[in-house]
Amino acid sequence: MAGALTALAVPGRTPVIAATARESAALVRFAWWSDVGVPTPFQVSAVGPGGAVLLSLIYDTLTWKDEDGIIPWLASEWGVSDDGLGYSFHLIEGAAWHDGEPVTAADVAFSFDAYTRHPYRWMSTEVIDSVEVAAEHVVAFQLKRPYAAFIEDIAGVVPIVPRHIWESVDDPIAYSGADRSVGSGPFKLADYDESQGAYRLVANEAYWRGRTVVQEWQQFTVPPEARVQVLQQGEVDITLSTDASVRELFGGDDRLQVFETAPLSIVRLAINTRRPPLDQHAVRQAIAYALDRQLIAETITRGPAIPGSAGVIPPETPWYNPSLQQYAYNADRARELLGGKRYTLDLIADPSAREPELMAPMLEEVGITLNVQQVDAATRLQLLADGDFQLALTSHIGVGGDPDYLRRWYSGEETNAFAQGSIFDNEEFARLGEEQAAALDPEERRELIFRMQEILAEELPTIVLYHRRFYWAYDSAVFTPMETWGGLMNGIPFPNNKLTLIDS
Amino acid sequence: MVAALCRLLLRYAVLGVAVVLLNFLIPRLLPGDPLSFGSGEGTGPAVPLSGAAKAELQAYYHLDEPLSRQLVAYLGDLARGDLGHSIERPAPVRDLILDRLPWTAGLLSVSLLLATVTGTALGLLAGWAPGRRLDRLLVSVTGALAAIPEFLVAIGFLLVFAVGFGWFPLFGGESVFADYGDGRTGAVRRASNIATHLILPAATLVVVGVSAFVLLARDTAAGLRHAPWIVVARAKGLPARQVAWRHVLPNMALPILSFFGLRFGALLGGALVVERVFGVPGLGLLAYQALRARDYPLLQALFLLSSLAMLVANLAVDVISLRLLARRGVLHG
Amino acid sequence: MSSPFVFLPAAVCSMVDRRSTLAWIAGGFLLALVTVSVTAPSLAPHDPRLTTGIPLTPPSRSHPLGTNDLGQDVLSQLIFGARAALIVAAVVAGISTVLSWTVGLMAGYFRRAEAPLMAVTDLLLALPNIPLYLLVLTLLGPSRRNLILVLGLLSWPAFARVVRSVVLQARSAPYVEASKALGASGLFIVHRHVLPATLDVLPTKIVLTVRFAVFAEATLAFLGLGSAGTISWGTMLNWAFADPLLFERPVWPWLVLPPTFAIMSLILATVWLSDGITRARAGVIRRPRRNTSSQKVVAPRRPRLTLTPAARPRFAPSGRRRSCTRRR
Repeated sequence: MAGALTALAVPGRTPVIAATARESAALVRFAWWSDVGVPTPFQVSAVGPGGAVLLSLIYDTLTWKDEDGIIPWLASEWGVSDDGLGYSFHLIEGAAWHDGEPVTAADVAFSFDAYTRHPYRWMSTEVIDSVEVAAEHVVAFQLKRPYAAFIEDIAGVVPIVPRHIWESVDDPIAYSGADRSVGSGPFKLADYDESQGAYRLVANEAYWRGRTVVQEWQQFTVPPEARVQVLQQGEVDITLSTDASVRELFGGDDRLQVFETAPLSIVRLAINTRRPPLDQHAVRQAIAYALDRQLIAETITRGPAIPGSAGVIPPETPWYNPSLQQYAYNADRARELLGGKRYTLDLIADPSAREPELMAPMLEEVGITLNVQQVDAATRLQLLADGDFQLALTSHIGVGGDPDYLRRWYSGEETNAFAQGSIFDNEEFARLGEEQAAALDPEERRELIFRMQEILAEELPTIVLYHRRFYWAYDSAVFTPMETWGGLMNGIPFPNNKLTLIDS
Repeated sequence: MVAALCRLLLRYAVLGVAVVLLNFLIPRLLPGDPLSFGSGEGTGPAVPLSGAAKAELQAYYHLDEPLSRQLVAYLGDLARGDLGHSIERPAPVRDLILDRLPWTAGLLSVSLLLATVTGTALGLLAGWAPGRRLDRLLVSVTGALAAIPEFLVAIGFLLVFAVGFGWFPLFGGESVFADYGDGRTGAVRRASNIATHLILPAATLVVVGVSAFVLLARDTAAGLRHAPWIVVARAKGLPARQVAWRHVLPNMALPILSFFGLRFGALLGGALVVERVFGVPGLGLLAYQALRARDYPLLQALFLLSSLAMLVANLAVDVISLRLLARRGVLHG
Repeated sequence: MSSPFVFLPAAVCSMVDRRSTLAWIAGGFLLALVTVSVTAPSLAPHDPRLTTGIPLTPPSRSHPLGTNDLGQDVLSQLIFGARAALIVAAVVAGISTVLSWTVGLMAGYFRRAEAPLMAVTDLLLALPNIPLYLLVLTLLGPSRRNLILVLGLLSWPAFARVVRSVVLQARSAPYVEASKALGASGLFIVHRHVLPATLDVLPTKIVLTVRFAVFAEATLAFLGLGSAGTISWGTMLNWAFADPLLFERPVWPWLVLPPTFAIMSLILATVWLSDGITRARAGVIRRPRRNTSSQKVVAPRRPRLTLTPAARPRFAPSGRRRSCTRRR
C-alpha cells in the first residue's frame, strides 16, 4: 500500500474508475452545510473542507489520487533529487484554461510564487524555497528541507492558477473580476449566489483529461435539520450524515443509497501534558481506560463503533499500525492507576458536542470529576492556542492523507489551533517526526511512522475517542460515489472525487 | 416644540457616537480571532495555516496594529461611508449587507404589517366588548400563542407544513438558479417563488408578534370606550362602525405606532431565529455567522446598522409622539 | 431556605382575587412546580445525567416519557429542568426588576441623575438584543450563572423608562406637591408616595421578565449558546433539534412536546397568577389612586400590557397617561 505513495519515478499508471455505466447526468446537486466563499484559491473559505473540494472541480493540481494511490495529473511525471530537496515536474501537454489559454510551466511557477505572498488557506506551501521554469514543460522546485509529504500534501492539494489573469492583480483577496474563477478543471463556475451560499458549475466541454459526464454540478447550503429531508424530497442528490441510521432509513430504497467513506474523521481529547495532573503518564492512561469508547462511539454515531486507535492514525488507512496497545475499557485498571486519588479536570468542548455528557459519569466512576465548559469554536481555538486548558475535545478530519500531520501537530509548526493544543514534549517522537518527514524511502518511512504511533499509544498525549465515517446519502440514478485512497487530497472523506465525474 | 426637538436630536447624536464606539470595541473583546477560526459544525478541519501565512494575513487585514490605530482607521473609513472588507467572505461589507437587507427588511415589514393590522383589528373587536365571549376567546388564544418561544413556532411550522404536508420548501429564500424566464411572467414567477419560500417564516413572525398587538389594541380600545367624546359620539346615534373608524382608531394610533416602530427597529435580532430555522439569507443569519467567525468588519457594521435602525425608529417614534401629543392637546384639551 | 417557601405563597394568596379560579389554578401549578424542583432528586425516576436506557426509545414503564439521544430519561430531565427554569426565571426577574425600579425611580425623581441614567438606558435599548446576548455570552462564556447575569443585567431598560414615566406623573400629583411643601425629604416622598404609584406595573413587569428569561434561555440554547452542560427545558429542546434526523424519526412526540408544554404552562401560569393579583389590586385599592390609574377603572379586567414582551413600551404608557390627564 504505502509503496504506491512515494513512487517517485514515472508512475505511468492510469486511473481506475468505478466500472459502472458512465451515462451522462444532466445535473447533480450537492448539499453542504456552509457557504464556502468565492471559489478561487485566494478567496475560498477555510471553514470546512467544502471549499477545498469545490475548488478541486474547478482547478487542477500537479498530482491527484484515485482509489489506489497517487496518479499523475497536470504533471505526467516527476522526479526528486538525491538530497530530497529538488523536485521536478514534467507537465502534460494540451491542458487548457477555461478561457482557452494553454496551461504552461510558467503558470505553475507563478502559482506557487503567488502563494508565498497570498497563502492558500487550505495548505501551507511554506516548505518551498523557490520554484522556477526549468524547460518549456518542466517546473523545478527547491525545498528548504526534505519533505516526504510533498507529492501528496502539496503537489496533490495546491491548485494551479492562471498567470495571465492573476499576474496583473495587486490584491487577490479583494479581486472581483469576472474571470477570477477561471481554472483548468472539469467544471467552470457559472454562477455563485453569495447570499444563499449556492454554486452552479457547468461542464468544461474542452476538458483536457476527458469528457465530463455530469453536465451541471450545483452545491447548496442547507440547514442541518433539513439535510436528509431535502434529499428525500428530491431537492438535492447528495447529502452528508454523520448519523449511521440513515442506512436503515433508506434500506430497501433502490434509488436513494448510502455510501460510507473510510473513517477519516476523528473525535479526540487533546491533552495539555504540561498541566498537572495530566503531566503524569498514569493519569492519562487511567482516563483512556475509564472511557468506554466503544459505547460512546455507538451511542453517538448510532452505527458500528470504531473505537479510537491510541496511535491516532485511523484503521482502514494506509499508514495504520495494527499492533498497538489499545486501552480497552477497564474501570478497575483506571482506578488502580489513579491509586485512589481523586481529581477534578477541566474539559473544553464545542457547544454541539454530545460526548462530554457521556464521559462525565464514566470518569466520575473512577474518581475524576469532569468540569465541562462548552464554548464556541473561536473561543475554543483561542484557549487551545494559548495552552489555556487541561482537556479539550476536538473533532476534525485530515487524518487520512500523508501522516506528516503527526509531526506537525506537536512541532508547533502550525498556527492551526488543533496542533497547538496538542502539547507533547517527547524527544524521541520529535526526532522520529523529523526523520520521517525527510525519509524518501517508503519502507523506511513506514517503520518510522509505525514507531511514532507506538510512542503515541504508550504516552497518550491525545486520546482518540473514536473514528467516524461519513455517511453520504445519494441518489444513485444520477451520481456514482467514489472512495479515494486515504481521502481526497490531504484526507478529506468526500465521495465526489472529480474522477467519478469524468470519463477519461 | 422646537426646543424639545433639538434636545431630542442632541441626545440621539450622543447615543449614536456611543453606539459606534461600542460596536467597534465589543467584537474585538471576544475570545478568538478571525484568522484562527476554522470549524464547520463538527467536521471542523485542521486547517493547516502556517505561522508565516497567518502573519501575512494579519498584516493584510491590519489585525497586527494596535487597537487605537485600528479605531482611527475605522472611523476614517466610516466617515467616507466605507464599511470595510469582510474577512471571512472576500467581499466588501457594504455589498454583503445590501445583498441581504431586502430579505430581512421584506420579511420583517410584511410580517409586522400583517401582525399590526390583524392585531389591531382583533384587539378592537375584543376591546369593544371587554369580558364578552369573543374577548375572552381572543385573549386566551393570543395568550397561549405568546407562551411559545419563536423558534418552536418556526420548527413546528417547518415540521408540519414543509416536512409533513410538503406544501412549502424546506429551506432558503428562493429556488437558487431557477430559470424564471424573461419579462413580466418571469418576474411574477420569481415573486411567487420567493413568496412560497417566505410564507412560513413570515407566518411565524406574525403568530409571534400578533398577540402583543391584540392585547395592546384591546386594552387601548377598552380604555377609550368610556372616553367622553366616544360616549358623545355613540349618544349621537352614530353607527358602531363609524365610531370605531372615526373616533376609536385614530386615538389608538399612538401606542400602536410607537410599538410598531420599536419592533421594526429590532431589525437584526427580530429575524435571526426564523432566518436560522428556514435558512433565509437575511441580516440576522449573517450576523450570527459573522459572530461565529469573529469577522470584525462585518460584525461591527451589522451591529452599527442595527443599533442605528433602532435609534432612528426610537427617534421617529419620539418625534411622532411629540406631534401627536401637540395635536391632541389642541383637539381634546 | 424555608422562609420564602412559607411566606411567599401566603403573601401571594392574600393578594389574589378570591373569585379568580384561573389564578388559583395557576398559583397551585406554580407551587407544585416549586415543590417538584425542590424534591427533584427524590422525585425523578432516574439520574437525568446517566444513560439508563437504549437511546431514543419511546415511552415505556421504566421511562414514562421515553429516552433521549443518549439514553437519558426524559421525565427525569423534565423534572430537573423545572428547577433550572424556576431559578433562571426568578433570579432574572429579581435582578431585572430591582434594576428597573432603581434606575426608574432615581431618574424620575432626582433631576440630576436623569440624563446619565437615561443615556445608559437608551444605549442599551438601541443595541440589538439577541445578537447582544450572543455577543456578551460569547465574551463571558456560556455558563448558567453568566446566562442569568446577562439576561438580568441587560433586560431592565424598557421598564426603567416605564417606571420613570409613572414617577414623573406622580411627582407632579397634588398630594406629592403638598407633602413637599410640608418639608418631607426626597427619600421619604419616593418611599411613601412615588414607589406605591409604580407598583401598578410590577405584575406586568414580572410576567414579561419571566417570559423573557425562559424564552431567552431556550432560544440561546437553540442558537448554540446556552449552558450546554446543564439540564434545562431549553437544552432538552436544543438536543432534540440537534438530531440531524429529527424530521425522519418519530421521536419528537416525546423529545419535543414535553419541554414545549412545560415552557408554555410555566408562562401561562405566571400570566394568570399576575392577572389575578392585578384584579385584586384594582378592586381593593382603586379609590385612593384614581389619578394615576384612571384607565384601570375603565379597562379593568386584565393588566393592560400583559403580553407586550419585547414591547419596550417606552413611550406608550407615558403618552397615554398624559393624554388621559389632559382629558380630565
